[in-house]
Amino acid sequence: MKKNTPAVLLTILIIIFWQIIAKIINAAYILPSPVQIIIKIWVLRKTLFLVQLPATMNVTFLGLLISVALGLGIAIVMDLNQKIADALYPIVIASQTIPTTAIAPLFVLWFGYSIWSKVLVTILITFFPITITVYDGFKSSKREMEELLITYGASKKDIFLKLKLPSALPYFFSAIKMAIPLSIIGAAIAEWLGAQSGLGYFSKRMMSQLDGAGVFAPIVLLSAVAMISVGIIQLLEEKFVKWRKEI
Amino acid sequence: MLKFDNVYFKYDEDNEPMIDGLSFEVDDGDFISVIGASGCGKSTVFRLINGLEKAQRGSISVDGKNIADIKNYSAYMPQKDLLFPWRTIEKNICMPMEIQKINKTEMHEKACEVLKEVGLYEYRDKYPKDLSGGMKQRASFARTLLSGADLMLLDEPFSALDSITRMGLQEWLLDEWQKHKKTVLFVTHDVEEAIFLSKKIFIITDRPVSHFEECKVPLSYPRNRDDMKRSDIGDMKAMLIKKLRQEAAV
Repeated sequence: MKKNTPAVLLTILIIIFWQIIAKIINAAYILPSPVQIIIKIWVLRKTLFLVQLPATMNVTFLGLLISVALGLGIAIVMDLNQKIADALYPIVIASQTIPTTAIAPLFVLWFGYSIWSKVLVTILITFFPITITVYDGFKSSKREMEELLITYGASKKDIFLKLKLPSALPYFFSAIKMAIPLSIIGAAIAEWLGAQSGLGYFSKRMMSQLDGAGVFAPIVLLSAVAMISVGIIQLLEEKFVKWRKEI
Repeated sequence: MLKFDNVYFKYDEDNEPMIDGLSFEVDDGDFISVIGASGCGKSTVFRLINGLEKAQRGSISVDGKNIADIKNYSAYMPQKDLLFPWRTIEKNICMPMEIQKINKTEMHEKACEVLKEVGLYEYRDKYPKDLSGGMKQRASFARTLLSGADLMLLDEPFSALDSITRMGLQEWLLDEWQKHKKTVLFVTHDVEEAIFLSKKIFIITDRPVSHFEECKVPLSYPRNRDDMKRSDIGDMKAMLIKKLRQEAAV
């Protein structure tokens, strides 16, 4: 708890500062106050929690799941074969230079307003940190440990399963912690650019009505979901990778 | 048992060979220390024996068979304990047996037996971070024993430990060696350690390594620390230090 105290205090300070500035500006369509946003969340609770949030979470979860599978798969293949790594690495990097906001409408054109156009945007944003971080994790395993296993007669498979995979576990958790907020951002962007439901879509609708608190309400919800999810992953990491500092 | 016959080896990035025409033999059950200045090629000899490097000329054989054709003939214990932090002590020492696909029951029985022997049975479910430096080295030795090989290559295993722990582990190692009748090749920088432990000492004095100067230790087993106070042992120590200094000065 003591560890979190500075963060809690700073957050409270920012909220107070925000409340004061919003009061001074006194135009909710430009900058709504935190209190106005909370009231808005309460007023819109049914649609926010029962319609929009589940829609966004579907996209996020599906996008994250596919990104994890894709990212892990690419990282494993790159680690097993240097030639494949040399071929794939530039393509993986290049995928991140694609401006998402420009390509997302194209996905809508290809897949319509179905979930897949949004999932694709989420994957495009999320798979990169997973691939690169896990690949770095595989490469981080100690050469001396690998040589020790070779002296025991270990095969490539043994080295991968008994050394590289556990060595990459802390990196995997870091990747997931990065990927969760990115997948939520990806889903929200995709919904902004073309959707019929979801928090991103809802935020855009509120924007067109110049409802500042209505724009912020979904954003606050998305942030809360991201923080809770990252917190859960953090707890799992502390449970399963107790040895992180020993490497 | 172990035989080097006219072995030549050069690292790709070096201009000069590290080893050129090296021949020597180690008999079954010997305890031999290899000493020499830093970078003289001690570890390279070990890397050649355990197959991490390949001799470019000449041959290395164990029990008359070329090492390229056999498996599990040597067990390597590195300077660092290299215990896997995500595995318990028991799981760590089972690693060589897991790779050899030994069944779980047999693995567990053997591991418990060796853990009792090295005094770590109570720590079998602990992780390496819970152990002291000396205990980690004992666990590492237990893992080396469980590889099942008769030839043990110990590469400065006690160099990172404090002097008291180190002395205790040297005496413990001699007991283990006498109990298991293994052949031990032991790399060290410490002349006193080499004399206390070994039947014979190989001194590396040239570069590229073309031969080992051999020095028999005039002590019988079991040994104790008082033996080290003998005048002939003192003379031997002075002679070895002089040779190492000459080598280091070249």
